[in-house]
Amino acid sequence: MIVTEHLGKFYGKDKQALDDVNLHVPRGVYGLLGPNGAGKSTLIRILSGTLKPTSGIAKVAGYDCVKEIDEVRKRIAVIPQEFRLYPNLNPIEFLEYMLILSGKDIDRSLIMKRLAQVNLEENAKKRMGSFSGGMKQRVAIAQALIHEPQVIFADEPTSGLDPEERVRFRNLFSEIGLEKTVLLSTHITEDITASTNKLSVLNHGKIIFSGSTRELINTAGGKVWSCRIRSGEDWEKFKSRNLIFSFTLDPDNEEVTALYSPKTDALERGSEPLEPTLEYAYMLLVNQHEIGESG
Amino acid sequence: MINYLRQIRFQFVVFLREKIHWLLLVFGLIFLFTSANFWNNDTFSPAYINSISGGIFLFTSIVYGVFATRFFLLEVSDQSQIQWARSRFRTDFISAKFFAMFFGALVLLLPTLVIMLIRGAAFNNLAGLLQGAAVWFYLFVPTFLFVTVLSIVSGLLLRKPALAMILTLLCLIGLVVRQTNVPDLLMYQTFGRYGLLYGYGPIGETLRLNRSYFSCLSIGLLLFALLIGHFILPANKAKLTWTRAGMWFFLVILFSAGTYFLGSRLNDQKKFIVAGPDLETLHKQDEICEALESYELTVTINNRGTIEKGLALVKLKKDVSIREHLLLLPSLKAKPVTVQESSEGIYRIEYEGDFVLPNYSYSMLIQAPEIMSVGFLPGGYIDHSKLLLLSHGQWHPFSKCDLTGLVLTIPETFTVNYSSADSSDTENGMTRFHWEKSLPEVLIIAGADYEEGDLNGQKALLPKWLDLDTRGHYELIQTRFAGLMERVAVETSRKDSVIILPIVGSSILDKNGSFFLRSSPVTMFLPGATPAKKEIEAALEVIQAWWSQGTVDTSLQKCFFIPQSCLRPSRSTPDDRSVMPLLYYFSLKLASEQNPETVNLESIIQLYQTRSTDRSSAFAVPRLFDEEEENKLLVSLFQLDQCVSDGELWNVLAQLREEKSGVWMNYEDLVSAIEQLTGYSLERLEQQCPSN
Repeated sequence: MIVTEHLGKFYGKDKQALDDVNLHVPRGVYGLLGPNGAGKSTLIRILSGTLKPTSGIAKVAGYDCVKEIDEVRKRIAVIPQEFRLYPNLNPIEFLEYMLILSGKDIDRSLIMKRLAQVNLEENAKKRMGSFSGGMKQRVAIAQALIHEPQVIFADEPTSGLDPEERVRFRNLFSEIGLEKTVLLSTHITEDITASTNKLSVLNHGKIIFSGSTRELINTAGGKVWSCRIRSGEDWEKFKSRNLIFSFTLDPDNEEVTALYSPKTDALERGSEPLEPTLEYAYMLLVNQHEIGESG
Repeated sequence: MINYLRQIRFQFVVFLREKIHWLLLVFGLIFLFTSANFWNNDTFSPAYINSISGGIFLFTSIVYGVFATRFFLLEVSDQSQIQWARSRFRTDFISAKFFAMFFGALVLLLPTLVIMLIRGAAFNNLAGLLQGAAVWFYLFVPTFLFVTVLSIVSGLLLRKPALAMILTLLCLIGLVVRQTNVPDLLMYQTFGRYGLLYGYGPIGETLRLNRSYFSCLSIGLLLFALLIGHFILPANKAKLTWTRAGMWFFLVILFSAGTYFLGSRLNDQKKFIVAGPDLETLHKQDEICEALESYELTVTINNRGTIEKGLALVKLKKDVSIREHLLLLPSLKAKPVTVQESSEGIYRIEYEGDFVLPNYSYSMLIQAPEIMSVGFLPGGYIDHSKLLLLSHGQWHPFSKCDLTGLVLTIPETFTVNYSSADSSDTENGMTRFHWEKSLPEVLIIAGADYEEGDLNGQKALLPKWLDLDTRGHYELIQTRFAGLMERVAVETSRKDSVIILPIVGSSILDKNGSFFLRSSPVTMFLPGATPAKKEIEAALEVIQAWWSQGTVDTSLQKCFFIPQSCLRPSRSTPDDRSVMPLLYYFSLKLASEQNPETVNLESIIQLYQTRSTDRSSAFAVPRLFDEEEENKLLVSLFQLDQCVSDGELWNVLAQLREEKSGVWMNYEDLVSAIEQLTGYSLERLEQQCPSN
């Protein structure tokens, strides 16, 4: 459904946001994982036609995102990372407007169905200005579904949500993914784990991994370890030699328990192997250059 | 189309739901209720609606400009990807916003119109109300059209709400602070009172041009915004085809050309409008008039209100230089005026051109004293199908001189409301009017928004939009007119009709007996005056018109209307110590005779009598004369009135009018003339008439 070939984008002459991006996104939920500033939002803006690429091709549902943008727009919806709703309107009025902007007739039953899908039925006539962040996010999902698009671009949709809302969202995306293509852009690995098993990792504007979540996790096999180190000077030295995933401090014994991956082949004394997760694999991947440099 | 209308409706709802936008209504109501005109309980004519609306729109449009810029930029940011990713948003965004903002402002300010109309309902008939509403819309549309488009353009160019709002604000404040009376391309506030309601004159013409200019500029800028929007707004890049770009570009060029044309026209007119009167030539006119043996004129006016051909045949009794002393309007001298001497003392003068009234034609505008004293020099107006010609006016070369014959040709399509012509005929779609020998002052009125009616049972031509209050003023003056005619008129063939005379700042009693009452009589400007004062001033309006013997002499009127203009050290009028108190006494007399319950002549005269000893009486008199002689004359005339038989003093006034050569008469001449007519000397009344 989504294809990019050698896609590149420069802001000005020097700032390269995307570099030779090649993507093939099939139907279902597809993860686009990458740290902040990796180029995820730029890619989504190009695919939704609000930004023009500097080079390469981007196609959605078989239509070119530059030359046939009107056809593309009929088939897509965007849930941006940051958006502004009309605070003085209620969700029903807003969704009516979204239908109008998509060239569709106003269908009140469809609107209510979508609001029910995002659990906003009871708030359907309340001003959106009084909504919490999670409720606004649900309105954004409802608008993305209202005109029955084939492809949905979701840019960091769960950032800023509490755990309960986040879980609800993941489930919702999985449900939507049964019928539509959802490009789920995020830097939160749990979102991907819970919603899909296919993903690409974007870093510094480049695709550095494409495949299944299992394949990504496998890349971290034998590279994740746990170790106890004395706090103080030993811990400082330990940090410089290894990539730290997480650590906990035991003040009574003045010890630090760290989950890490060594930057070189030399393993710390007393280390125990750990089962890799998508998060560790992703961190290893995006920090690969650091590990390589030290090695 | 339905989809597009729904988009507009949605944006309109968003505009109205923004609470801050309701400040427009709040400000509108504040300006409405703080307007002194609004609380004037005596009248609420379309002219008042015009005046109040002008104030409301001037201030609210600035506030609106800031709001509109902010509203336009609501979706022009990265936070509105939801909207921009949808197909219908991009093409219709600017125009939908435009309509939503414009109609939003209209709806928010509409209550001010409704309040004014409700208030006006007690004074105006339906036509008056409709006229008032039309005035409101006429002022609203170009102003808010312009501000809406300005907001869009500054929003598009800067795309940062704070910066764009500042730009809009600076532009609007810049336009407002350079308010000027002089017609101007960017005259933001409209002075539509005269032109809009009566439809003629420099203000009328420039108002139309100015409003058209703003409208055309706005549409041009809107098209420009739609064009550049394709390149500037998110999601629009690379979507404009050459055909569509060409179409937009063509329309932008078309409206830019229209704007340029209207602007040039206004600028051209401005030269003539701001021109001052040629006072040197004016002072020479008496000499030229004396030298004329015959002065015949043939004038053809076309549909556009242009003098297509003006031909004056002049025969001189004595040799005077006439070439440099043509007192034509500046706009009629823009094209070369040819003066040919066919044989000795016989000249043929040809001229043509537009009839653009200069600002000095307006008695209501503040002018230099020397200009204010010259009166209504143009002697009429020609404006498309509207026409008013007085026999003395700058539409012919020797405007102060009496014509001995006139042939006026106008399109048949002109609706003639009044004509004093001796005969007329129609041929090839043109109507030709002939005047021979002694021409009356008012020659023709055409195209005025008149209807036939009556004032107190007397036949009258009245403005269609006449409101009840103005009608009340007209009726009051008509009553005085009828009363004066009973007392002084010697004419037997008079028609006794009343015709409302637009633009001219004086009422005229024509030698045919028709009374041309100026559309804004003096009583309209005395909202807080006592009933007695209004009665007296109404009588004065009539008496001074009668006294001027069918001519337009605004110098006398100005002395009464703006007394300061006569009481300055450099008095431009010959003597205002005699004629003014004389006519004022007869105004008191007429008003008290017609309405003794309201105006008690004796007690008023008593106040004038004690004025020198009792300071408080200075505030009690209906009109204050500064000079002691003037007060004394009023008292003397009253004493004389007591000595002579009933009605004799009116005969004295009529005789004085017949015998004097002009409007003014000095005190000594007045005293001796009265002595000749009555045998009583005003200086020795106490001896001659001891009962006083």
